[in-house]
Amino acid sequence: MNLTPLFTAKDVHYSYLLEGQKINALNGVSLEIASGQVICLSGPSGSGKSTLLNLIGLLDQPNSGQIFFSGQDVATLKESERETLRLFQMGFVFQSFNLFPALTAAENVEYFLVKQGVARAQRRDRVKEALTSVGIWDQKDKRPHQMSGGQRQRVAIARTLAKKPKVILADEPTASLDQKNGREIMDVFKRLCRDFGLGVIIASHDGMVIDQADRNIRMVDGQVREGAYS
Amino acid sequence: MIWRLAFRNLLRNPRRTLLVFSTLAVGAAMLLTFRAFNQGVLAEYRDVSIRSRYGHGSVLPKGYWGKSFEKPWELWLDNSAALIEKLAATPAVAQIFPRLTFSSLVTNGSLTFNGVGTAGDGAAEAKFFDRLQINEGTFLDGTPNGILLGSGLARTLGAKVNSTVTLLATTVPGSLNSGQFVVKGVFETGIKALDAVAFRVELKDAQTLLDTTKVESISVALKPGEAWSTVPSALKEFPQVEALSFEEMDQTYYQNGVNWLKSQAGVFENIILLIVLLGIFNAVAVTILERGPELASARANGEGRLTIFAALMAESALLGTAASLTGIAVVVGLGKSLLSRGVTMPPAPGMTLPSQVYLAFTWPDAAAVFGLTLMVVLAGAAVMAVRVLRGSILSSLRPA
Repeated sequence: MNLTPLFTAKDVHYSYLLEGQKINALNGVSLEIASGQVICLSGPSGSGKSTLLNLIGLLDQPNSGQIFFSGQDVATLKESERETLRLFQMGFVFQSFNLFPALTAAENVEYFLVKQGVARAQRRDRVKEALTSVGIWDQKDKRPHQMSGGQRQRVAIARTLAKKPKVILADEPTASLDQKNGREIMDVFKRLCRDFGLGVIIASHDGMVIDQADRNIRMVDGQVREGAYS
Repeated sequence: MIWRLAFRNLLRNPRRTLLVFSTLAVGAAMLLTFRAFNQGVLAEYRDVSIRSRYGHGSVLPKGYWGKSFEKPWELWLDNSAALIEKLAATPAVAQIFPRLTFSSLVTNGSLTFNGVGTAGDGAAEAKFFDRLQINEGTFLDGTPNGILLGSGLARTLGAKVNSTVTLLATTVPGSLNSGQFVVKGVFETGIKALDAVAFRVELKDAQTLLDTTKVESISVALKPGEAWSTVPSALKEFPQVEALSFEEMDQTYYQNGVNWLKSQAGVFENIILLIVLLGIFNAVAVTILERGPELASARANGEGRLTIFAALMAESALLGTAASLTGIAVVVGLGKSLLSRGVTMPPAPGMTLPSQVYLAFTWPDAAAVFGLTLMVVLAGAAVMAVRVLRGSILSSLRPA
């Protein structure tokens, strides 16, 4: 298993205004995350797990502190460079799937490969490989509305997987699913880690996800209480 | 992939797409109908002006038109044979009509009124000036001492076809001269003020009455498709004359009408565009705003703002193109079917004759309408797309 540090956070603070009141979402978070593991950012609502996921996923920037991705300080990156990193090295999966409803499962997966500039023949192979990896190749021609929630989430995972990222970031990926489908999604994540050496970071308060993860980073009130370093 | 996505997105909410499509198509149809109708009105004005009064233009003594002179005949064209020969040899010119206008007292029995006469070659002019409406009798046909009276003047004088009227005019040398004329017909230009004083006689009869061989002007009819500018160019060797187009000569009724209609069209077009924009804006706004989460998810996975913007614009462009082409096709179809016989319009202000206006559809107008309709839908979509894409990915991830 490859345990090369993927993310490092040093004394990260993040706050925002809500109805004129300052909310401190993260209060001096420091941690290190390696690749090749399923890591769960857990904690109650408002603990800062999703905020931390968004910051390490380059969707937002901390007020202070540093975040390193593969050793690079992300604060030095321009917006276009952050976009490029997200396109080639990261994949996002969300609670509500957020697929393109007008495209089939295969086209949803192919979409970012076009953006990556992958040749047509290679795209076909990678779409097949990704959909097969999550077990829904037979659903490739269906549109999202023709699929179950679990299947949609698998498509969402497949479309990030096809990009061949270093890490998949998932925000409450099982929250819209029943227990059975949630467990199957976790199985998929674990298999991807094992087969492709990916890092998977999941923000979740689902006990099943916490139990299934290789490592749990427990957050409370914007601070890491447990599992900051492996 | 962008175009595929754009096309399929149009089918996501067919009812909403149909609403926007219909609004745009109706807007495009209204714009084109309005333009085509205005072009039809202008074409009617133009045709009446050319074929009832001025021809495509006239050659006149320089500085003569629009001014008053105590002795206008001093400026009239003497020995005009060379000028006529040159005009006749100009390739763009189809026909020429030497003319003169003069004031005269017109008497019928005990009634005498002031009139303004136009003299020309009656037989030749009858063929070209076919928009001059003859209410009674016939055109002049070259028969000596025939006269056509304007409808108002005939009514005032109580003259009818075959009545004999007397013209009393001042000759060019300065004496008074009179002549007997037989009414061949009563005409109507549609311009009330003109029909109240106008009469027409043969050129030779007028020259005899005025004791002159001069002509005042030479009216010119062009061959189809020829431009008036060829006439002034051909007359550079005649510095004593100028060639004025009918637009310049008919400033009051034609050119002012054109300018007025064009200004009115501009105002109405903007109102139509605004109504269309307001009509589609809500549907376009909802369409884009409800996609916030999927667009944000795409951005989170590395898609750029510009590409997403282009995709949204592509979708609107497809819809705008289909809708405006449909609207244009409907108008073209109507113009060739239901409205092929034109629309009968009541007399315009200051006019007495109704007119038949046809939808004068032109491809440049269709292209302009296509562009305007596309611009409206793209503008509506751009406003909302910028609003969605300007926000952070995180704020857009929350469902609308």
